[in-house]
Amino acid sequence: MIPALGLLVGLAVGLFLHPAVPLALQPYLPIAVIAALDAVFGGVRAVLDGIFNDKVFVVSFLSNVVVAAFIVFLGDQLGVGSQLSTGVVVVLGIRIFSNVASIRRHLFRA
Amino acid sequence: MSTAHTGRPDASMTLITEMMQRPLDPGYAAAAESRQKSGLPPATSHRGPMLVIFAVLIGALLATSALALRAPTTSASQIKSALVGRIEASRAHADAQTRLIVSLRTQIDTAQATALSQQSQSGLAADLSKLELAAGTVPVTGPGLVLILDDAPPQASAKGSNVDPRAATAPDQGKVIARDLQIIVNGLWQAGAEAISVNGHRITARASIRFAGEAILVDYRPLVRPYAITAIGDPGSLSVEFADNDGGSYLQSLKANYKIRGDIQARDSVVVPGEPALSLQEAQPVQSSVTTRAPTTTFGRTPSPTTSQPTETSP
Repeated sequence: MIPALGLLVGLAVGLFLHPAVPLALQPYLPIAVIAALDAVFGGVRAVLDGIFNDKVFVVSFLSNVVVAAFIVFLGDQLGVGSQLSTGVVVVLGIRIFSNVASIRRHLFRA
Repeated sequence: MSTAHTGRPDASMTLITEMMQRPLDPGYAAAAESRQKSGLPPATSHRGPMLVIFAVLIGALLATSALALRAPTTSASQIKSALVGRIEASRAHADAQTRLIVSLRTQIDTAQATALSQQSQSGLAADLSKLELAAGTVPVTGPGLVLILDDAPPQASAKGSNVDPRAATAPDQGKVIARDLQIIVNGLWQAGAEAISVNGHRITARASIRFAGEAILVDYRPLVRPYAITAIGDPGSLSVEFADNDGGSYLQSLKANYKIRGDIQARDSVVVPGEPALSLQEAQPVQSSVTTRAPTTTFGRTPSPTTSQPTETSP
């Protein structure tokens, strides 16, 4: 419950402070968002499975974001940035959907 | 979650199977196992300070990226809609002002007429109405011609593009352009037309026929096809003279070569509207040579009072 409140506080902070994102970082934002969502849904599922571990959550979030950003950066250098972004989005998207399906089974027994 | 079995029929799709069946980070299971081994409960607390900090961080990341990535498209469309709104507002304003001018002009006219009749200056009143007629500020009626000009029929060009795929990339030759209207209107003046309007816009001394992109502007107002040119003059001599001069032959070649539709009809009575907003701010009449000699003229000759020239469209 407290982490969910923290998420809402973070959303409010972002909405009201409206921090300016440097132009160089903007290509990585969508990928970072997808990676963060993956970590969040993985964490929620782990909570429901009863095996949540905050250290694993934090490390998985950070590594997801860093690796995704690195892949996109590498792709930009090689000229295939958009294709690699698509690949990252597909892989993380599949993981998000499977985790959400598992959460749904936990919550609604369906 | 089940681990990979040996000899499965979908063994060649291990990547997809792995991704679909074990989406959860295996680190969670490993950490829970090691915690259970050391006698702790498998799950840690959900309210650790680090977790809360990262939750706030993730929320801020979501909000920030949503705002940062959404901004460019909305700002562009905002500017566009703002411009569209300004154009529409200005056009409505211009229309309202034109209506106001018309009503004020009629007030002025009636006031002028009453003032002149009170002073029994009927000669002045007659002069005034004659000059208004010549300047084109009042609507006029009389016998004349109506020339309907329109683009080439679309099916002809569509058929052509089926035959020749490159015809589609070439500019559309069957469209009426501003130059066509200019030449035809000038031909009508040359043939002796006394008043001309295009789609209800009077061609006065200050009106021009121009183009902006593909749109034809008459008097700075865009026209839509078909283009109806109304000219007042003796229908018989007007049509004969027009057919003889450059404008008529130009129209003939447009019809013959580009399938542009042009139809001339003689009418017993046509109406050409006036241009009420015809007013000069800077131009002053040159003083008559009888009263003063104009010192500023560079040509060394005394300018005569302007005689009424036939109005011509500017090219």
